[in-house]
Amino acid sequence: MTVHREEHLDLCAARVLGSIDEADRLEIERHLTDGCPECERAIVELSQGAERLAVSVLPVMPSPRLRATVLERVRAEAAASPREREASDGRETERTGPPTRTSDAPRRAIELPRRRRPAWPTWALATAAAVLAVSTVATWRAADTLRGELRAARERVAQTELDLAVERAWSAVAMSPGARVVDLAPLTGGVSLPHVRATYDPASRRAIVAFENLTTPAGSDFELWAILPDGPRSLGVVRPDPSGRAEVRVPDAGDPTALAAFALSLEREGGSTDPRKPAGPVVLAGSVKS
Amino acid sequence: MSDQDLDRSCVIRMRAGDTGALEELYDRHTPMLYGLVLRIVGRVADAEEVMQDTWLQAWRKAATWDPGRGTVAGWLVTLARSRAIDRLRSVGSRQRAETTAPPPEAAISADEPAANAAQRQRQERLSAALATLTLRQREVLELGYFAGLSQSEIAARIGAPLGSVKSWTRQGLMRMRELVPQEDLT
Repeated sequence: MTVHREEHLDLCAARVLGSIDEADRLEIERHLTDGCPECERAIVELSQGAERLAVSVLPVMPSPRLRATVLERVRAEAAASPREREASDGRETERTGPPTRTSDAPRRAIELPRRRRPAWPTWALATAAAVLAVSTVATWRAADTLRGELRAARERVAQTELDLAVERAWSAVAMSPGARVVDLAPLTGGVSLPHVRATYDPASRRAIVAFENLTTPAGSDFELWAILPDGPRSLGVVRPDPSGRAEVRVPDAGDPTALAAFALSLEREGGSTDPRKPAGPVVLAGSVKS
Repeated sequence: MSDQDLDRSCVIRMRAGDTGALEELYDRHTPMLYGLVLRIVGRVADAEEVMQDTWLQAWRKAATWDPGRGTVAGWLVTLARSRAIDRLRSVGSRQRAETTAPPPEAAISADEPAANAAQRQRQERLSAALATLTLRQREVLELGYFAGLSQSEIAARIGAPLGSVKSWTRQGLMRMRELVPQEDLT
């Protein structure tokens, strides 16, 4: 067995990320073969970090056609090679080879060791065991409570740190030297229109859109749109607070070379049914191009 | 029952041949997996093929999933990413996918109803967490994870010592884990 070194943890990280070089891969595989608790623990933790990278990507819904194709292929495969249920021990496992008849296998007699006469009376051992069990449980419970409190405190700190980071990231939009500020101008009359200002940071592609005097006519909703070369993209329905204010934070408003404008449409309650086309009139718009 | 419990139950049912269980997993995880695959391969046609391979492998390998080694979501991510990286290499489109910008298809369909508010919120938090890493940590994670570069390739690309790339990788992954508690992923 190879002795654990700090560098092995770096190799675990590279392995988890999927960016490990071949020579390093061979080294860490050799090290892990005989078992290394430190590396195994690190791999579990680092894998959680990698999982977060995956979730940091914008979720995208593919076409329903893909779902139909996937399910069709899986059903065809399931029909071609049905799996068998092994319920003899209450667990379900997949058979990869032909079924074997375990019931026909000869049962092997197992000889149990003979019981020795105890050196201490049974009642004394039982009492000692009970005392030990009670004290162990009490200690374990106390330690468990402390561990729980420590974990909760760490999570609160991490949460606060993250909340702060989120707010910093958003405040950076307004502070960015390249930020573009757009006041959306009315395109139509007849309804009371809000004042809308969009601040877009081309570097981070984030945008903050602030609304004032937002009064939604009964049975309607205002919906915000990003205008891109291939058409509008809904940024969601805007709902004001009681004072008529609202703020929409857009994590990714689009590439600066693509984002042309922001627009606001007046829709039926709930917004347009098509996230790529307003159904109602566009009442405000402002160009982002400098 | 939490999403993780539901996922575990689905895998057990898949082992018994229940295709409905795979359907449930598909609906729960596809927006996240497809976003990831699209980010790596950059083209819808490639991404759809990778997704088909991924779900077929998930069906075939349900028996090999080990609950002691991570979540079902993590397992699916591993299956999808490794196939996406293989595809990226085979089509030789690495250069295209190394840009940090998501492909246009991602931006267009991201607001469809199934990419629900909780997923968007979770993604936003993780994206913000990623932004808090040092530039170098973020760079090595993105080049390794999304562009499929090896550490020596990353070192050459960014002009940094290989040892530093290794340290930044480990620090970056641990930092991501610390910044977002596991509960926030479910």
